[in-house]
Amino acid sequence: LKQHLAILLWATDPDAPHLCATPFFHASAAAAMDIEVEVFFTSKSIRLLEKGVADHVYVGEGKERSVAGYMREAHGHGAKFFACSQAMAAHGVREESLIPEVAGHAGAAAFMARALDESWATLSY
Amino acid sequence: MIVLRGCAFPDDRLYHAQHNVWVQRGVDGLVTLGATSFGVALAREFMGFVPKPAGTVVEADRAVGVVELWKTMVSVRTPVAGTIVSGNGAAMKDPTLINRDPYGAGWLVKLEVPDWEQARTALLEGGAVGPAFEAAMDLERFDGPEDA
Repeated sequence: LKQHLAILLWATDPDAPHLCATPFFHASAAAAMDIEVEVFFTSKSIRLLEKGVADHVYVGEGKERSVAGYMREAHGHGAKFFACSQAMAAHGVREESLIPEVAGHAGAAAFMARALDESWATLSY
Repeated sequence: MIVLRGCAFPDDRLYHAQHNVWVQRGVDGLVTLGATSFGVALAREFMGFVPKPAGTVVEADRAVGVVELWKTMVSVRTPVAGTIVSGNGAAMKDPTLINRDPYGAGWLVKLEVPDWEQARTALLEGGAVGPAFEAAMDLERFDGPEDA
């Protein structure tokens, strides 16, 4: 059983809310199994790390739970969130606007290091 | 059998209030772990159960599997260290078994525990069960199962 999972968010776009819960639900499932989970936010997914954005993104019509709720659950299970600096620059996301759950900055090279390490599983959304 | 706020706790097993599980050592020496009726009441409906694979060595307080509830995931943690021998395949196929029979057919995993006498010191039995779960229920502001 692999003990590490790196998740790349690339098409998880707050403008496509129906795509935004599953990656965090999967991150929660893995982290709840005591698997080390890292989530790399890149492209327009970076916007989910801006304060207030994910709080207003809902997957279904019922608006029972925001995407921020799914993100907090994954983080609560131990998943670490990393912001891509290039994506931040491309989409105008400022450092001071990041949610406190962000563990640090990591981009393409960091994710590739995980992808090339056979002890890590990788998923892309 | 103790009954607290509509939740039963049979006398023939040991408990861990923080992880909300029961533990029972069988005549074959294997230790079975499952969810308490209080845990089931908190969870409401089990929608999935995935144990770690057989052969996995787990330390005390680590996950032996995960249960999927409505829009949330919960770790199943063992209070005793050991090696997972098997997960309950029937509960994997039909997670509602955990709701319907948590102390029987809805068990979760079986473990081989190398030092049972030491391991059991972390568990509750007899008169210690009631107060510990009363405190846990207070913490959750739990008055009883919704369908009670």
